[in-house]
Amino acid sequence: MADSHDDVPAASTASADGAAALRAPRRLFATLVLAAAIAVALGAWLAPHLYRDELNLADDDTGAGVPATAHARDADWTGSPTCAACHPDQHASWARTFHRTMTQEADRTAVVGRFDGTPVRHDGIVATPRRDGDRYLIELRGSGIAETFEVVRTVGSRRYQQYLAYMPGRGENLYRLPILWHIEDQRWVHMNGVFLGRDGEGYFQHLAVWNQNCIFCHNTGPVPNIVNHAELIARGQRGEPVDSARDARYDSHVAELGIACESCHGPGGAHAARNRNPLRRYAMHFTDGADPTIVDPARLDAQRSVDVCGQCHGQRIAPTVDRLVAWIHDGPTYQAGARLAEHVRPVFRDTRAPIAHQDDLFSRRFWQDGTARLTAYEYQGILQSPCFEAGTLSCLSCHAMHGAEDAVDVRGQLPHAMRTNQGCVQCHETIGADVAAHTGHAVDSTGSQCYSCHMPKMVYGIMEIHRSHRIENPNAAANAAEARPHACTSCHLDRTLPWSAEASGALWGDSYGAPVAVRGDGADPAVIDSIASLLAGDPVQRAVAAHRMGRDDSPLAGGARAFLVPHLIESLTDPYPAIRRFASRSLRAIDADMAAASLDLSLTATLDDFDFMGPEAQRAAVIERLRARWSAFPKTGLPAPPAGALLAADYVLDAEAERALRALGLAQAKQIHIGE
Amino acid sequence: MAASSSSSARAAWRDDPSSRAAMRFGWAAASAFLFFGIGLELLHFVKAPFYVDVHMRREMWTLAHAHGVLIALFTIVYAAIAPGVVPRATARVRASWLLRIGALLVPVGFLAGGVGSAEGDPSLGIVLVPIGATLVLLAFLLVAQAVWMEKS
Repeated sequence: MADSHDDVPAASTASADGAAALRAPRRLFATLVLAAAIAVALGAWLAPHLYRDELNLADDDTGAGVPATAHARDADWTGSPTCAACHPDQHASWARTFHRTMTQEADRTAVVGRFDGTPVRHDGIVATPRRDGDRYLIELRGSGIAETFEVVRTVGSRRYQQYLAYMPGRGENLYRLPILWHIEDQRWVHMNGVFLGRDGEGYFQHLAVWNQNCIFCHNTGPVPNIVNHAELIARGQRGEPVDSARDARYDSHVAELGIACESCHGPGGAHAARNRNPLRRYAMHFTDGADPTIVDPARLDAQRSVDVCGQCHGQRIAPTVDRLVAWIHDGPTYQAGARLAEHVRPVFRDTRAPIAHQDDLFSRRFWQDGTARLTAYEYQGILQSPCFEAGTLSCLSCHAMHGAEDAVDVRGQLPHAMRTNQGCVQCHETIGADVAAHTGHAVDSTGSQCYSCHMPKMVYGIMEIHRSHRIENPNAAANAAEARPHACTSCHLDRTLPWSAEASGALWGDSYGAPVAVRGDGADPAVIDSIASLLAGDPVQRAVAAHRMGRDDSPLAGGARAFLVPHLIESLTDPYPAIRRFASRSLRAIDADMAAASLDLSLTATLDDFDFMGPEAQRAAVIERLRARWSAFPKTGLPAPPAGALLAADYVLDAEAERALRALGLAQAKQIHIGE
Repeated sequence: MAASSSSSARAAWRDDPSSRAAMRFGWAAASAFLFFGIGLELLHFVKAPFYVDVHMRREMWTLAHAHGVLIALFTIVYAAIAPGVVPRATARVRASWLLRIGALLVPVGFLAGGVGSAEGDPSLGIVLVPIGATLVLLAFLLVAQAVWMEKS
C-alpha cells in the first residue's frame, strides 16, 4: 500500500518525501557495502585455511610441483589453448617464439620454403619441391629413385625448415626428407651441407626417422609408440640384420606439436581442472607458495631449473637399455620439475657411445677440455660453469621465455638487456663498476663485452657458429694445447697465441700468461691463430675459424683483414661444405669492409657464382677466378701483412707452408657426427 | 507546441531532486569515462607496457570504460524519463540512488580489477562489479515495476 503522497506528481512532491526517501537507499547501500566487505574479508582470510589441503604448499617453496615419474603416454596433458584461457600474456609471448613453430602441420601458414618447381641437384639426384594446390610435394628423381613425397609436417622455422613425409611401405613412420629450406640464405640445401660432414656422403645419409629422433625434443608429450618391437627382437635373436631406421614401425602421437607450455611447466591437466575453482585460484593469489599442480621453472632451485631446459638443450642417452625400450614405447619419463639426472644420462666428453668401432662418437662433439662444440649441449656448458657450480646461475638468469614483444628477443629468447653486460654484472657487480679496468679494452668495445671473452663463439650447429655456454676464462696456453678456439684471437685475428699469452699475463697475472709451447693441432704457434686454425684444425676448428674471420665487429677495419683473403679463398676448396659456406661468407664481409675503405677488391660478384654445395668442377672454376682477382688486385694500398700470416711482404702466399698446415687439418678425417 | 512540450519535459526532471541528481551524475560520469577512454587510447598510442602488455588489465580497463559510459548513458536517460514513468517519489529516489551507485561501482570494480591483477584473474576489486551490477539491476526493476503498475 502506497503512502498517500506517492501518487502525487513528481514536481509537487519532491520536497515533501525527500528526507525520508533519501535515507532509505543510503541505509540499503551502506548495508550492502558492509555485507560485501565482510564477505570479502572473511573469504580472503578463510580461503587459504579452508584450502590448506587443496593447496598443499611446500614449506620451502623449492620442490613444489615436482611430478611423479610417469611416461609421457600416461601424463595428463591439456594443451596450450587451455593454458591461454587463464594465462593469455604468457600464451601470447610463447606464441611468438620459435619453440611454438618447431613442428607444424604443413600448411600455408607453416611452410616457408619455395615450392616453385625449381630443381635442387645434388649427388646425381634431382629434388624438385613443388605445390599441387594446398599440397606440398618433393619429387626425387635419379640414381634409380623416382618417388614423390607429400610433405605432411615441418620442423623448424627460424634458421631453416625441414620437411617430413611418409614413405611407401613404411607405415606411419615419418621421414625427414634430404633437402631443407635455409631461411636466411633463402635457398634449398641438401642435408649433407648442413651437418658437419665431408663431400661424398650418401644422398640419404641424413634420412632420419622422426618417430625415433626428432619427436622427443621438437614436440610436447611425445609417445613414439613402436608397434613391432617384439618382432624386431625376435629377428635379432634369429641372427637376422635389424636396421631400426628401416625396420621399426611406429604409431606415434604427441600431446602437442612443437614445444608448448607443458614442455617446461609439466603436464597441466590436473592444474587446469583444479583451477576451474575460483576460490582455489584466489586462495592461491593470497599465498606466496607455488601451486603444486604445475611447475614454474623460475621457482625451482638452479639445478631443477636448468634441468627443464636441459631435457632438450643437453644431449643425453638412456641410462639403461630397458629405459630406452620404455622410451620408444611410451615416451620419456622426465617431466619438468624433476631431476633430469634421475631419468637420463647427459652426454659428456668421456661418455662412451654404445656403438661398435665408434665409442668415441660423443668425444668428438667436445673440445679436448670437455667444452661442448656442437649445439644442443648448452646444458652441459652450464653444468661445467663456475657460476653454476659455485653460484645460483640458471638458464633463466639470462634467458626469458615470456615477456613483452619489445622486451624479449625471440632469437635466443633473450631480454634485450641480457645482450649487454647486464647478464654478468647482475652478480659480478665489482667488475661491472669499472669494466674497462677489468678488460683492458675500451668500455664500449667488443673487448669489454663479457660474452666475447667468457662465452666465445665456438659451437657449431644449424649452419651457424654459436656462443659456448660454458662460462670460463680464456687461457692461451691451455687453449693452444687443447686445440680449441681462443677468445682473444677470435677478435684479434692478426695475432698469435704466444702474443695472447703475453698480453693476458700482463693484464690478469701469471696464471693467464703461461707461455704457449705447442698447439694441439700441430701447427707452429708462431702462425697467426686464426690462420693456423683455419688450415690445421679439425672440421669444427676450421668452421669456427672461417666464421670468425668475417665477424662484423672485428677491430681490423678497411684493408687490415686483407691478409685473410688468400687463406679464405683456399678454404673454398675444403672438403666440408659447411666450412666452404663460412669461408665464402667471410670473404664477402671482408670484401664489403675493403670496399668501404675504397679498396676495390670486388670479389662479391664472383662469389655470387660460388655454390658451396655445387659440383666440384663448377666450384673449382669460381675459385680460379677468385685467385686471379686476388692476384691482380694491387696490394699497394694495403698495410704490410702481419707476421705469421704465411704471406710475403707483397702478399704472395707461402704455398708450401699453407699446404703443410692444410694437410694437418685434412688428416683429421673422422666425421663429427651431430646427433640431431 | 514542440518547444512547449520540450520545456515541460525539462521542467519535470529539473523539479525532481533525484532525477536532477541522476542527470548531473550521468553527464559527469559519461564525461569522466569518456575521458578515461581517451586515456586508454593514449596508452595504446604510446604502447605503455604496463597497459598493452598485460592482457587482464587491458580487458578490465576496457570494460571499465565501456560500462562506465554505458551505465552513465542509462542514468541520463533514466533522469530524463523518470518523472514521467515513475510516479512514486520514493521509487524514483531509490532508483536514482541505486543507478548512481551502480554506475559508479561497476566501472570502478573493473578498474580496480585491472590494478594488481594476479595471473589469469582480476584483483579482488572485481567484487564491486557484481555488487554494482545488482544495484543497477534493482534500479531497472524498480522502473519496470513502476511502468507495469502505472494506471492507464
